[in-house]
Amino acid sequence: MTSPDPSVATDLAGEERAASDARLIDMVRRGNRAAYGELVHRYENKLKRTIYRMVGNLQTSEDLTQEAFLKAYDRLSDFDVSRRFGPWLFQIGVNGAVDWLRRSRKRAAVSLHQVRPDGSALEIPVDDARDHLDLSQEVQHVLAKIPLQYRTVLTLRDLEGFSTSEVAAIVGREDATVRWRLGKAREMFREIWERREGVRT
Amino acid sequence: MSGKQPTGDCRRVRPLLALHVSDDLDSSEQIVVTRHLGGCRDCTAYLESLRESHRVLETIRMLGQEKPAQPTLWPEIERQLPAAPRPRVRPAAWRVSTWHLGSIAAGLLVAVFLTDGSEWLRRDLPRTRVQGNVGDAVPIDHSLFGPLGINTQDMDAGLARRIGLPSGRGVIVVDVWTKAAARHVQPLDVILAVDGVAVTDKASLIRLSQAHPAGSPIRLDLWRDGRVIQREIRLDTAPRPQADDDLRVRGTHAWWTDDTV
Repeated sequence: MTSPDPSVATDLAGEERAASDARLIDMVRRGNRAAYGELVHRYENKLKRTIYRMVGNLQTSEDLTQEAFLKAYDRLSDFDVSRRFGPWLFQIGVNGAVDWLRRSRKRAAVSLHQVRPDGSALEIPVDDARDHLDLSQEVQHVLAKIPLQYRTVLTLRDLEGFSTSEVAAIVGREDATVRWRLGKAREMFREIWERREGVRT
Repeated sequence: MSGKQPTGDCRRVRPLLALHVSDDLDSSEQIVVTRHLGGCRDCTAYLESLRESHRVLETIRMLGQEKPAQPTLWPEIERQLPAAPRPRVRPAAWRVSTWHLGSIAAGLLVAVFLTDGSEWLRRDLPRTRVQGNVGDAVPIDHSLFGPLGINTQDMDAGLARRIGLPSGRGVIVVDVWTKAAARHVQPLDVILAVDGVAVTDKASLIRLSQAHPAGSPIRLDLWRDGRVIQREIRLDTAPRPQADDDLRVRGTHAWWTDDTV
């Protein structure tokens, strides 16, 4: 194994550790696998968190993250180094998560607009067990109730810090669409979060 | 937040408030929102509740950044990596584009040759036209090939200036007639030296090449694409044309001089 260490210190010299993504990609293309290890280290936690917010399962998010890195490696020759690697990688990861959700026909979220088969509106469930959850888990509970397309935008913009134009590139939508979804997603989050606070108090 | 129903203005502004919490508005939207908030307590309260929930997300973001590193996926990823990323595959659109460009280029070449454009292309090269017309099939006399299998012309000052040759010396390759020569030399190469000895004209190239026994290698200093390169070429004992023993001129003229080497 070339470099299991997160810092990839064993195979990359100090100068190379500080290299930009583009430089690392160039090194990978020339056969340096350890350079790809550095890219994995840079993005794996962020990508895993994003995918976890989408699919709601830790093991699945790890599997899908791994799959995204393998796909990215396979397509690395097609990557345009004038673009940023992060959004490109996340596009692969997010698409993989969406495909997985479609395949499994299992939505991690319960849509706010979902209705029961009898036509009645679905109430947002209140889980008393959440008293012992930490803030991160509580947020995850709330996010899981937001429809996927809104949740993905909210996660990328507010939890992972991508710009709206980067989010647009990742999800393959126009900037205006992303901004609209982002506004809606924040409103949904506020509504569910406040309702949950109201129930708890 | 107030329980009052939002007014028409409020309904127009509310969708923007969720973007206002993170400065995702453009300047004109910003002005609209700021003006409205100045006179609307309901929307100001609504904005504050949006900010509160947004602060929760910001907190989570900061917590995520501060989390200790988790076990890396790299060992498992590396185990499954192929030896190298697959070679680049051009998108279909690009392939089509290349195909079209190739067709255009081929069409232009045909047009050039049909209009005797080859003469125009080579107007800078002094030469003696000895045989052949468009479409003629003319057997070539193999005895005309010298041991290098190429055809050259002397360099002159005007041509040297046009191709950016600083020294202005050497001989320019007009045609390449053998497979062996074609591996190393191209038309419009300028031969500057043979085995380190400067070539000043065709006579010196002939003299220098004949100084070597047949079958022996000689090193050529060539001027190509604005830089000097070196190529080693083996002198042919019985030069043969590139195509077959019955090389014929097809669709173009054969430019010939009596100084083939």
